[in-house]
Amino acid sequence: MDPEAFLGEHPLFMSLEGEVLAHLLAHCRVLDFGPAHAIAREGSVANSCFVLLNGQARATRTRPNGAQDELARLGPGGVFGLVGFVDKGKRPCTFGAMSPCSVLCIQDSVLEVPARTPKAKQVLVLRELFALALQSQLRVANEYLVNRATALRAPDRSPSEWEAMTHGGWKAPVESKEEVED
Amino acid sequence: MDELETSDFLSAFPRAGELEGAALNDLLVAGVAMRALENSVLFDAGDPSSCAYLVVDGVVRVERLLESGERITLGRLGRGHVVGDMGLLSGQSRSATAISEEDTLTLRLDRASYRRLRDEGHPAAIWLLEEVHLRMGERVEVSYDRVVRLYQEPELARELPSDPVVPDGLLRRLWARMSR
Repeated sequence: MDPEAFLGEHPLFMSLEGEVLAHLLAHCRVLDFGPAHAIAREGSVANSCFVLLNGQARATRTRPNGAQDELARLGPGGVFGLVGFVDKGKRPCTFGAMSPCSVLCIQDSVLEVPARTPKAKQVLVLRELFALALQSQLRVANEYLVNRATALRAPDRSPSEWEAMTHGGWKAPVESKEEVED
Repeated sequence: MDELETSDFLSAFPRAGELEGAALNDLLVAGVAMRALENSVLFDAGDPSSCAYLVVDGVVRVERLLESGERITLGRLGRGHVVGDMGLLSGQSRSATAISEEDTLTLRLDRASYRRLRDEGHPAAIWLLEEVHLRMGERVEVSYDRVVRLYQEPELARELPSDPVVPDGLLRRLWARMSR
């Protein structure tokens, strides 16, 4: 799959001007994963973020007993791995492939540029996009919390009703023994 | 309008100390110091967004109104946090209401002023976006924690209004550990 063509149709990246897109693509590579393989692990340094080009992936968090809670499912176009991306922080969850999938891996070097240069504005535009993607995750998570709290306070509402109220790829977390492989 | 001392701003946002003095001054001049009295509404859910508030002192509660009429607290953002950051990045309407829980001093920065800094590739704009990203990442992490916790212990839904997003990093990590 041609990453440039894919990003050109992606709602988050489609408005990027040619030079900014070229800068972004210069710091990207396409990686392929098989089912149940880890794309990025909880606790590892977040020196990259990802765009899912095809296939299905999920975000999970591991409990002390080894069980995993599924936080989100991602489909083509999903942008993930943004927490910690600007400060080489640690990843708060594991991202694993659920089917054969290809991801566009964006290296954090894309953000490194001297201030007050023409390229600095381009990088700031990219930083804005990453912040918007992160904000979108936060909105969805908060929406989930509000809907879940609403449902739990209204016992007459069936679980399927509040499930229907969630959106954006989030679903009720499920405990799973399924492991991702390295 | 209030005076905002550089030292107060640096005390709330220590990472801004990495900016050169002139760059920091440009940021402070681009914004307007604003003091909100206790229980003042900074913005309401559904309002158009055109600015962000950098909290220098005080606490801002971010909440949503449930269908039942109850309010759910999504977070409490104190010194060193940016409230309504999306106002800088997009004109999307506010997704929640922000209310000062005590007398609160902020630097209010509107989108036009931010964009001027951004278009210059100004170091203050780079710093600000890093700060927004870092803090937003923390809030996403806390929301992950709360989603998992709520699933594991559904009865905790009743505690949500008094279960804030803790702004301080150490407290946040402790909270996260306790929530597992």
